[in-house]
Amino acid sequence: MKTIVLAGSPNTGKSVFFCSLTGKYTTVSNYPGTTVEIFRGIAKISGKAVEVIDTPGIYSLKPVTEEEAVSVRLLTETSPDLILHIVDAKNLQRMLPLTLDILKGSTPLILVLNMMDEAERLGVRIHKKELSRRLGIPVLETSITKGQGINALKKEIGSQLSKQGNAKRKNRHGNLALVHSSFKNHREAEKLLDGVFFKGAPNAFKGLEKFVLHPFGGSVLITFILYVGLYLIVGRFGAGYLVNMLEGELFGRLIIPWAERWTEMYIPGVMIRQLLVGEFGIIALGLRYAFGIILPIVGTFFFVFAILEDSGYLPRIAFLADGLMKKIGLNGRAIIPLILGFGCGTMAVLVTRTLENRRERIIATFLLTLAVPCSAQLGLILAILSSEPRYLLGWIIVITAFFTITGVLINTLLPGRRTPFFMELPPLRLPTIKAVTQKTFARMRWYFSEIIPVFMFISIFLWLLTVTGIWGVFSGKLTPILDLMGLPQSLSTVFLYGFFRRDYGAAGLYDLYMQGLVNSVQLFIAAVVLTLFVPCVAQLAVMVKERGAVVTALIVLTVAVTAVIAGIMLNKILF
Amino acid sequence: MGEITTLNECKEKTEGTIVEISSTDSRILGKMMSLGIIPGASFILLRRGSGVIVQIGYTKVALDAELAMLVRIKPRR
Ligand SMILES: Nc1nc2c(ncn2[C@@H]2O[C@H](COP(=O)(O)OP(=O)(O)OP(=O)(O)O)[C@@H](O)[C@H]2O)c(=O)[nH]1
Ligand SMILES: [Mg+2]
Repeated sequence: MKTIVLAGSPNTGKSVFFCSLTGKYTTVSNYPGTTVEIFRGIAKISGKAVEVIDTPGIYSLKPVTEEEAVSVRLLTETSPDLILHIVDAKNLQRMLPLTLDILKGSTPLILVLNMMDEAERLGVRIHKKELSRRLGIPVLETSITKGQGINALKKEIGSQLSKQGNAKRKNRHGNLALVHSSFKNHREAEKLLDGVFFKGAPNAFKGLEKFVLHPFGGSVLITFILYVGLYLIVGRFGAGYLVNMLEGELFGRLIIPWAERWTEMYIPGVMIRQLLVGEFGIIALGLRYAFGIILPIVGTFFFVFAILEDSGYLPRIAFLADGLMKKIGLNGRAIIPLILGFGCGTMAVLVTRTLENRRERIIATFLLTLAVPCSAQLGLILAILSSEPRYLLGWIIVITAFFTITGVLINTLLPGRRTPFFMELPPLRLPTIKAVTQKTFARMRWYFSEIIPVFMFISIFLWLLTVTGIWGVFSGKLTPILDLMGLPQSLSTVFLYGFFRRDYGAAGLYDLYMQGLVNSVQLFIAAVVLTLFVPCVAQLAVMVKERGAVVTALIVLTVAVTAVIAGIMLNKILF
Repeated sequence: MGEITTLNECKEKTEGTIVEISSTDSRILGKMMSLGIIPGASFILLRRGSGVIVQIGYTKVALDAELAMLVRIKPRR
């Protein structure tokens, strides 16, 4: 099968094009550094199956960050049959040097001038015929999100691929990595574009754009977004209203009573009945937590998040937060993985690849593990504590304090230094309903494919522990620690869930709260400890893969100890 | 014609031309170049905060003070 690679600068539309070619969704967002790993898919082009590879964006063939290195290796060390260099047409001047670099290799190349809709709106004109003649490669114009130019491009890909025989070429430029974009390249690009590229009107800096970056206006906007997005939509609507409907009404009144009657009638053994509808049963606990509690919260969160990502707001927050982030040994760039952590820590640890050095990646991973609650935790804690605003405020203060203090500490203790901050700010774009829903559903599907096997496992595991009596012994061992934190023994299950999945831990706490088994002070302490406590198994796995076993072990140990100490201290203060 | 200074010294709305990037670090030079910050390019300074936001062509770039200090420029007027 022939292989084509989509390459180019960050945020030029590679992933949108990948989706439209292969029908497979990979995340598309309006900020540089969305794609952090290579994705492969199959497309039908001119009736033939072709492998398409989506790559993380690169600024040049000299990688600065880890995800860029992945792309550069792919471009320089493998031999695809065709490379599509996708550029933002209005920024052709600064993206063409990369085309020249890629051209030094032996792989056939097509230059794709994407985002022509925006270029045209600004009055940019490009003589693509002349450019194609000068470069000696096909040059095509597209507006991929509008579906314009895709058919012509597919045709061109087809004819390029059929021109080549079936013999596999070898990539000639073994050491292409060394020929990185130099000043000379930029001058050459300038000459090539003379009489070919015509600038349009300058894009004005006014209105919303100006407001977003205003020191005062910007802070007002962030507060407003947190209030509406997190508190109203995720907290009140998702964790409040929707959870009530699904968990309380649908599961509580319909599904579970029905399942109980059904098992009563058809399942003879008490043990098996336990496994299905008992305290930790697959239906009574696993399914109810997953679909009744976690689904609505994670869903509303991903929805709010998709809007933020597609608007182009996140890089602006990075600029505004740069000064603060530097106090904890990071720079503004790190705000993106940290904010993503509020969605799902597992996803966020992967995105720390976009940070420039190992030290920054370790600090960010540590903070993600300790002090950034994931969406399910956050939503449930908002729901549980919002009946007692002072505890909600207390929770926010304690978690922020831990974030800041441990951040400053680790910054002083770890050797090395942060890197300077630079970031491209993409244009603010109006998120489309289609893109937002597509992303929300894709993420929910991914999330549930992760948690369903885990919840099955937890239910069976806990059921085994209960029927063998091990659970009683084990939770007895936890009692003294819980005592020190002033927490009842019923919380030992919650901590065990929390170890497997943070969201299950939070759901367990919610359950106890609904049954009235814990008082407000205990809720508050448990909320703090659960937030700080170790990450879920999925995040652990990604941490080991990205940071290595030793660093992960150190982080987890520190985090566990910190969480328990926090609980004990709060208990001392509050009682 | 104004005096040569650095991007970090400019006020908001300053327009001018980039003269040089005073660094020998190829990583920094590479980063700057790929964002369009190259000698001869004209810029507008859009926003100052703890760092700056400049526009070069159709690209907006945020730089912290540390990097802005390295960009030597000549203001217009
Ligand atoms: N107006 C317009 N926007 C586009 C077009 N193509 C892509 N976009 C938008 O550009 C943004 C970036 O698209 P992606 O596909 O995520 O870009 P990418 O090249 O994969 O970016 P990285 O993964 O960061 O390298 C998204 O917000 C898209 O909606 C286009 O033709 N016109
Ligand atoms: Mg992408």
